[in-house]
Amino acid sequence: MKRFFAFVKKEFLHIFRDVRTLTILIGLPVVLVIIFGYIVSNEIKNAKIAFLDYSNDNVTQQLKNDILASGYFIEENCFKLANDNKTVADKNNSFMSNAYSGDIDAAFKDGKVLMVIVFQEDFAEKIEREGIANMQIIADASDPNTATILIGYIQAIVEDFQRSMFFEGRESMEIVVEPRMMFNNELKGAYMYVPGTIAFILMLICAIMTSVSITREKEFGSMEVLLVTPLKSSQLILGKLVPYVFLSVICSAIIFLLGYFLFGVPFRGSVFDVVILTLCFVIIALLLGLWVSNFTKTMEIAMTLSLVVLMLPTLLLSGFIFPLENMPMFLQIIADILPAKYYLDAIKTIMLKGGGLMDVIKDFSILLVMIIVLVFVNIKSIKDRLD
Amino acid sequence: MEREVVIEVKNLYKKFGNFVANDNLSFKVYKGEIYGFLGANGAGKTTAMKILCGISLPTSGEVTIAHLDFNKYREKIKLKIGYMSQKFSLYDDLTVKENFRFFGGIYRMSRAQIKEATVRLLESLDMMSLMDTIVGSLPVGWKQKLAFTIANMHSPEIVFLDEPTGGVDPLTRRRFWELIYQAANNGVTVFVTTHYMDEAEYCNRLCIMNDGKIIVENSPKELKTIYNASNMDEVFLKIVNRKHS
Amino acid sequence: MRTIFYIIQKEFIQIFRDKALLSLMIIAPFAQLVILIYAANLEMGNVNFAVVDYDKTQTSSKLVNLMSASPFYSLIDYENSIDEAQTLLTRGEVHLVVVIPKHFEQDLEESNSPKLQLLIDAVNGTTAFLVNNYSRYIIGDFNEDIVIQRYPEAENMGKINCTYSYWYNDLLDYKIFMFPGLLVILVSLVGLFIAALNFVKEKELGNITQINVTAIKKYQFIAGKLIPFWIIGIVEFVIGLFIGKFFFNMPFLGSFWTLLLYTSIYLICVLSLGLFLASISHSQQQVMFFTFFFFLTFIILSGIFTPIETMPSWVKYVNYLNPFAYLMKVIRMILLKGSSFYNIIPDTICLTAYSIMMFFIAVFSYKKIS
Repeated sequence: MKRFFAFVKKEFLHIFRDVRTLTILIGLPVVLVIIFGYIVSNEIKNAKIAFLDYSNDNVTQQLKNDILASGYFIEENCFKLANDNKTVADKNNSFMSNAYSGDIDAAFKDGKVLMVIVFQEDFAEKIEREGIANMQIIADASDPNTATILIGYIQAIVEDFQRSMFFEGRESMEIVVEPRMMFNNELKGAYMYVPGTIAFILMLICAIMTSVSITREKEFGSMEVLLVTPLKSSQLILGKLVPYVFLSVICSAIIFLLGYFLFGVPFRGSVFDVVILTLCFVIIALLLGLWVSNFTKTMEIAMTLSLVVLMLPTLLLSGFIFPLENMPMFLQIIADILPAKYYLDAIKTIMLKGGGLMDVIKDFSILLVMIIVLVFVNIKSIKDRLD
Repeated sequence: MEREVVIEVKNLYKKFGNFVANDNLSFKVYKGEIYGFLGANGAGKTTAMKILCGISLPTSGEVTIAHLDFNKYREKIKLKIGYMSQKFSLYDDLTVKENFRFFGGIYRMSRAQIKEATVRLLESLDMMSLMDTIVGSLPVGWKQKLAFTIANMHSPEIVFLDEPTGGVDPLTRRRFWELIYQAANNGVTVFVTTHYMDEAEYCNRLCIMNDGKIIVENSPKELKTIYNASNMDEVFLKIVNRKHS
Repeated sequence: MRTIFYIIQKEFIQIFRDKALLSLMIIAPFAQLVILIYAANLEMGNVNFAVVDYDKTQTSSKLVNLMSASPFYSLIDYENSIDEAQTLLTRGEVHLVVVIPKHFEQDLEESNSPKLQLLIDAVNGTTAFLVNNYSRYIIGDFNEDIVIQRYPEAENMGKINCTYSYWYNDLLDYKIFMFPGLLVILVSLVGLFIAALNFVKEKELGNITQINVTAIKKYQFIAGKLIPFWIIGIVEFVIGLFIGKFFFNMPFLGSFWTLLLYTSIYLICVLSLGLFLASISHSQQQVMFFTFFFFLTFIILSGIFTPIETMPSWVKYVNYLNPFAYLMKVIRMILLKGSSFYNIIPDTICLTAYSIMMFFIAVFSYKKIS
């Protein structure tokens, strides 16, 4: 036991002596959580919009005011209406922007505006007499996200306008929609990214650092020195892993606390459940790192291999950034065999929604099965190596 | 006739924080001489050599190499020196020929010069057949010979060897020293650090360092007479013991 | 110039000799490109929803039918109480619960503005936002039908007919948006990671000392290290473009040469950044973490997944120093909108200045003297 502690102490010294790596290991989650928390949102403010108003009457004026008053848009003047174009536009109701499409194209290409709204000639009069007037909304959809969000805003504004116009002097028949954003009423990005960042960082520390550190001992030949000591090989491996468990606990705690105090990410479920699940995930990550180190001879390869087979999938195929449901089958299958997806699901349910272990029994048991499988795989590969 | 001085060091100090690695070193090295720096690990040999090669700056002191002032012409000096370090310094993943070509190119030799030198030097080493062998696959002793030859490829005035024969047996070391003698006979000045006593015997003159200071400077023969010793081992032990008693 | 040439020659020999690294450099980026094109999708997928119907009238079931008829929504279950429905939300079995209040039909008839509650799982804010928008859209349609039943004249009056045009990506295909971003990742990976690792490796093995004792100029050495990866980066970029164009049918509206010119300038900038990070690191492990840190932070800020417009305004200023942001913006302009050189002149000037600056930072941070 004494020998074992001496060995663990040596491993701790290795890690804590490299101050730069340590700084990054702790700094990376902090920066990531802050970036995700502050930056990723779904609200666009002050998007630049241009109007091509052939009518310029009180109705279009009012619509424009409504649009600009919403706070989502600011007007950019980039078209000058010439009188001779007016006639062209008038005759061509089906595509009112025709006469100006070159100008609109240029404005989009320059990135001056994100959206152009065209009002038909005699807009107010047409509503009055014919009951209908045409309005065209042209979005720069080279970024489809932005386009969808902006068009959503415009749709809502125009519908409101229409409704208030129609129900003037009539009895309203409006259904009031009351959306309640459950668990995250301000739609904060941090809610998604706190658990995601934890999974990611645990993978980084447990899997990559472990595989690299074991490979390093192999590369520098110090593994043989350790193997001839009276330490049992199980002690040897445990000794390697203990400091990383310690480090990952610290990092997860930092992320949880940052999320809680800086972004108000709640902790609705039991802390105990979250700790249990996180430990499961840590163990899986360590076992994966250990397993990868079987196949690597140099640190360079260990790093790239763990990066490609462990890190990237955790980042991309866990539902952390991109929803899994939309992915093609073969990617979903890969996601199914990775632990990150189950861990994230379970953590979100417990931490953010206040569920208990019973609500995540499926995820939890899959994680447990993974631990058992990986323990066997590792024992087998170590035996193979010793033979 | 006064012999030509190629390295002159006056009152050289090098400090790392509070630790004094080189404490007031002064010495001269003459043209065509094999000059040795002898000392235990951490005596300050490598630090001093790094300063002479221009990859480390002294805290204070004057250095003149090949008649050029160190402070003004550091980069110019580098064209006149060759260097080989204790860490094997050729590229392991390049072939012998490619290493010659690369270092020749870096030293601004022309294409024809490189070609001519590669063939001539490999022939003299009797290694022509290894031209296209990857350096990493060669035995350490052979690599060291190659590294020395490449350090001499651009005909430098002075060659610095930092513990050039680490990790090889005495016989291989002996062969390596034959190369050094050859170079010295051609007028190249050789500055070498070592902690092998047998190597010290091969030097024309050497200085023994301890704790960053020069303890004594003389030829091996003179030193043996002064300290009444049969070999350099005894000389070294006597010096160190005297200091500690 | 000749000195630089010898370094370049040496680097190429080494790169092509290390088969493991070479295959990694070739396979990894392209495999990643292809997988990411499929994976990177922020569109709303299928949304499972549950209904709590306290009204149980014709009108309420009509609304439910309308919603479950939508291609995006699948009705999972009717629940008896909000509490029961909330358990489904907690377990993640549904993303949306529609709560229809008592007297819904009656209130509607009597113009009492009935309140329809939507409980949306908002843990993922992006999805929640889309679900909210889409549900409102369906309910708005439903509402309009009812209004027309009551006031038949409504069909022919006071209408604003909106036509929507989505320029440059009329199907709102997210792949088209992501592809240029993925190309940026691809070239940047080569620039940052591989060049930086290569430089540090030379330091760790001690070969660099042998270089430092020669009279080589600092800029020669940095340029010699930079140019091979610059060439590789450009080649990979062109292959990536080719794959996108011919295998995935991605749009390529602008000029190839303009894009190539801009990317070449960009590569000098990232490569210099990579070499700079390498010269201030001591080991491969350190530089790996350094570059990883920079890469992740700046790539998110560059607006690869989410538009810069949704970010706080200070991000725009940070992005002046973010090399990824320069390429991210312009590559999308050129590929998707067909912007010309004239449109990107300001960006080109800034990027060129930045690249020159970064190159000199890399040169100055490389210390021949320790």
